[in-house]
Amino acid sequence: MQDAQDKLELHSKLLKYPPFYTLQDHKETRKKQITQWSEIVHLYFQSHKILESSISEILNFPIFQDSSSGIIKRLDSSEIKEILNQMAQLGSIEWKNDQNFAVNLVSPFELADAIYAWAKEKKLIGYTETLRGITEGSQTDESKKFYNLPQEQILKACLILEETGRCQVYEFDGLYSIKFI
Amino acid sequence: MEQSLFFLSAEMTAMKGFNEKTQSTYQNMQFYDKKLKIKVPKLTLTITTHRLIFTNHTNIDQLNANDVRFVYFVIPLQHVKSIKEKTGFISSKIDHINLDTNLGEVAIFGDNLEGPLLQIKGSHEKKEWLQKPEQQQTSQVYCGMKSEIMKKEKQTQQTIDTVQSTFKGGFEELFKNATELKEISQYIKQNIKKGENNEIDEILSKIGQSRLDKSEDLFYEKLAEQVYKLCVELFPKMGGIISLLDVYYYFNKRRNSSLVSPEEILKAGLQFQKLNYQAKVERYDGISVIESTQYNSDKDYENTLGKYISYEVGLTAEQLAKKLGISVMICKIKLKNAINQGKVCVDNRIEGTRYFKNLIINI
Repeated sequence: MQDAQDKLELHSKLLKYPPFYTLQDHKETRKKQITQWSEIVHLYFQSHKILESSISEILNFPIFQDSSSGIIKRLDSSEIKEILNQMAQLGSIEWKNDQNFAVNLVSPFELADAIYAWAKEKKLIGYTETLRGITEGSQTDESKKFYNLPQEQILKACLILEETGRCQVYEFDGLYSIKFI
Repeated sequence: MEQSLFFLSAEMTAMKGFNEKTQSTYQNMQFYDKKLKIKVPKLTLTITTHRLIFTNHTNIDQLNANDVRFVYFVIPLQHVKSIKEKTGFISSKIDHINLDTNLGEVAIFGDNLEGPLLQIKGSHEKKEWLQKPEQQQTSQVYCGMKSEIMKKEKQTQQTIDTVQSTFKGGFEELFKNATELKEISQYIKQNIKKGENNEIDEILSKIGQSRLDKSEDLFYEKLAEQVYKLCVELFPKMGGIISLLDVYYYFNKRRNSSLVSPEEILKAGLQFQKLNYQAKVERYDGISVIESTQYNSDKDYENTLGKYISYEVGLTAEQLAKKLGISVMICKIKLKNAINQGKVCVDNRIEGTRYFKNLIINI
C-alpha cells in the first residue's frame, strides 16, 4: 500500500497529465481514472473542509481545470457527475438530490470507532450523551475527527455502534441521545 | 305502240335524283331510236350523273317537262345495259354511240363524240343513282330543366359507350400481350441465369466474345492475384494495412491502361480468403482497408506509433501520419487499435485531439 506521500506524488503527476482531463473510452483505463479522481476530489474536500456542495459549484474548482496547453480544459458536468457517483458508492458523499450532495470527510465506520474510543477515554461508558454534546461538547476538541461534523453523520456512526452492540440510540421529539454500553 | 324510252313519262324522267349533278352539255346531237326507227336531230345532250337528257330547249334549267313546245326526253343511266362506240369504215373517228337499254337500243350521233362517250361511261360506272339520302335525325326539342338534365345524361352515356367500346377490346388485347411479354421475359431470365442459352453462347463465340457471367469469377480471381501481389509489396511500407483507395490508386497507376474501378478492386479483395491469400478486407468506421492476416498490432505499435508518442508529449493524427509516412486515415485506424488495447490515451481539446502513451493504466 502506498503511503500518503507516494499518493500525493501520484496525484500530482496525474493532474499534470493532459489526457487525465478527458474520460477515456478504454474500460480498464476509465475505471482507474475515475477511482483516482475520486481520491483526489475527496482529499480536496478534506483539505478545504467542504461539507456540502453542488455540481454547478464544483465545476469551477481549480482541480478540475488544466491550463497546460494555454486554453483551459475542464471536465464537464456529466464527467464530474460520474466521478461523484463513484464517490457516493465509496461513501465519500451522499446525494441530497440531483445536484446537491453532502460530503463525508470521514467514513461512518471510522467515525463510529473514533466516537467509541473517545467515550472510553472520557469514561462515558454507561452514560448518555446528546449528538451535539459529542460534536461540540466540552469534552471534545478540534483534534477529534467528529469535531463539528453535521449531526446526520454522527447519527449514522452511532447507528453503526448500535448495530455492533456498543451503544443504544434513543429518540424523543426529533432529538437523539446516545447511551454508550 | 311499242314501249320506248321515248315515251317514258315526262314527269318521271324530269325528276332530278338525289345528289344528281350535271356533268356537261353538248350541242347538235342526234338521237336515234332503233326500235322505232326515229331520228331526232339538233338536240342538246346534257349528261348528268344519273341521266342523259335530250332537248331542243336552250336552257334546260328553265325547261318545264310538260311544255309541249319543246322536245324533251331522258334516258336514265340505270336502264343502260351497255355502251359501245362505233367507228366509220375508213376513219377511226367515232361515228355514233350505241346504248343498249332495258327498253331497246338507241344511238347518239354527233361531232366529237369522244367527250360524251367518256362522260356517259363514267357516269354509268359510278352508279351514283344508287346512293340513298341519309335519314336525317329529327332533333329532339329540349325544353325546361328536366330536359336539360336528360340531355346531359344522354351525352354522358354516349361518351361512356364510346370510351368503353374503344377500350374494351383494347385493354383485353393489351393484357393479353402483357401476359405474353411477361412469359417471354421470365423465360429469358431463367435461361440466361442458368446458362442454358447455347444459342447466345454460339453467337458470341463466333464474334470472339464470351458471356460475362461465365468468365466473371475467373476475371476476379485473376484480378485478386494481381492486387494481392501489389499489397504484398506495400504492406512493409504501410505497416500491414492499406486503404482500398490507396490500393486502387497504386494499382491503376501501375497498370496505366485498362483501368479497374474501385468496386472491382473490392470484389477482388473479397476473393482473398477464398484463394487462401494472407490478406483480407476489413472495415473500420466505414473505411474499407486491405489488412495483412499476419498483421501484429503490438509489434506494429512498437515499430510505428510507439516510437513517437510519450507520456509527456502528445501528437495529433496528422503529425503522426507525417512522421510515419502513411495516410491520416490509416494512422487513425492504428491509433484506434492502440486505444482499444489500452496503449494510448486521448486528450480532447478545442485545439484538437492529441494522443499520449497511457499513464493511467500503469498505476
